[in-house]
Amino acid sequence: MNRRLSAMAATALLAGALKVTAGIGIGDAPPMSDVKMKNVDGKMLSIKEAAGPKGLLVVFWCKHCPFVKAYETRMTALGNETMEKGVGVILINANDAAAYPEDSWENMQNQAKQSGYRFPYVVDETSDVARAFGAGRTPEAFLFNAEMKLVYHGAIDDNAQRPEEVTKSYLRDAVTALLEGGEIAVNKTSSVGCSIKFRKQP
Amino acid sequence: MAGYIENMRLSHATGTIFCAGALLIGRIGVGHASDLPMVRTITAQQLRSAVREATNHVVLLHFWATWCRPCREEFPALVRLVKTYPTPFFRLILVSADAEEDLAEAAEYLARQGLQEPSYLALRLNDVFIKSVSSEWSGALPASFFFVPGRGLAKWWEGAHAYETYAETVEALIREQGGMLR
Repeated sequence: MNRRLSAMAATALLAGALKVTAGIGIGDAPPMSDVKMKNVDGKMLSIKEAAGPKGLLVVFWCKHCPFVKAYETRMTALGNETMEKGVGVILINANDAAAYPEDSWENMQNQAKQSGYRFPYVVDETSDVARAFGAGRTPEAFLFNAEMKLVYHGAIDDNAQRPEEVTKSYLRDAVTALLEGGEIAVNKTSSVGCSIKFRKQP
Repeated sequence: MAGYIENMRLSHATGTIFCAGALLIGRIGVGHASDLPMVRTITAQQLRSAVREATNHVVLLHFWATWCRPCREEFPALVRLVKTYPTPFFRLILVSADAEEDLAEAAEYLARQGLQEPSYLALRLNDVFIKSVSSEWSGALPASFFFVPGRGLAKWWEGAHAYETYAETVEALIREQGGMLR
């Protein structure tokens, strides 16, 4: 490689140091909220239909991911409680089941039954809903208020592996603040999870 | 600009040396179950120190997990990278996102891949940990962060990449550091 090319390569490399993340931000409405997705009960359901009078919790979820497994009990409890309080809950599996057979619809049905979900768990059959949200991994939570504005995006809490050592329950605190009309102190958190295996776009 | 050209000249010299070095050092990695690489647990703060201490090289801080399929798919590229660009020019710091209970599994995986270098397993890999590495990292795996002496974080990405992309990046950063890597 000649020197000028090397210099250009180095400049291009440095210019690429920042990465822009697509998707929705705080204050935005849920995208593709009219798209019908198949629920584990066999019925078709949209995000809009899943919303409750006080808001909506959307969580990108699946079956195979160890982080999801670590959160299974906590998510079930929080999801069921949140539903009862008037905030709709919907879990969305956007993984390509051809790549991850463990994330098939049949397995989702078993997962929902065994854990005792009292909220819908749907398949994003194109992975386009996940793309529109800018969701990248499981689990990843998006909480909307009654006006359908995003008020929290990110992790469930600060300790995936050891529930007994959680010191910050980000999502639970955000739901509580939403219901009590308080301010959501931390509205965006990062978390390790399994990358969503997006279906290829036609 | 004069300084830059001088660096380029130096980098040609270092390039020759480290190609020879690679031939000499080129490790043969055969992992035996009884001879597992050391995987130590590490906190966010300890990791910051480890990266700081290592930056007289170009450092690739790489987060992965045994359960992460894209991580496994690109892992041979990392092994090849370590074998192509040995210390003192380049250092790979591996941090596993596996659960602490799966530490042995991570070590076995590394051994099977032919890596005997010590590496780490992140403790409490949460929002605080992730943001201490980069405020822009979503937490998705795999994730790669390139550090250079004097400048800190020079480049980063989420998701799996080809060996060529890793090699081009490492090479450009080593070249940029030419004067300091003599």
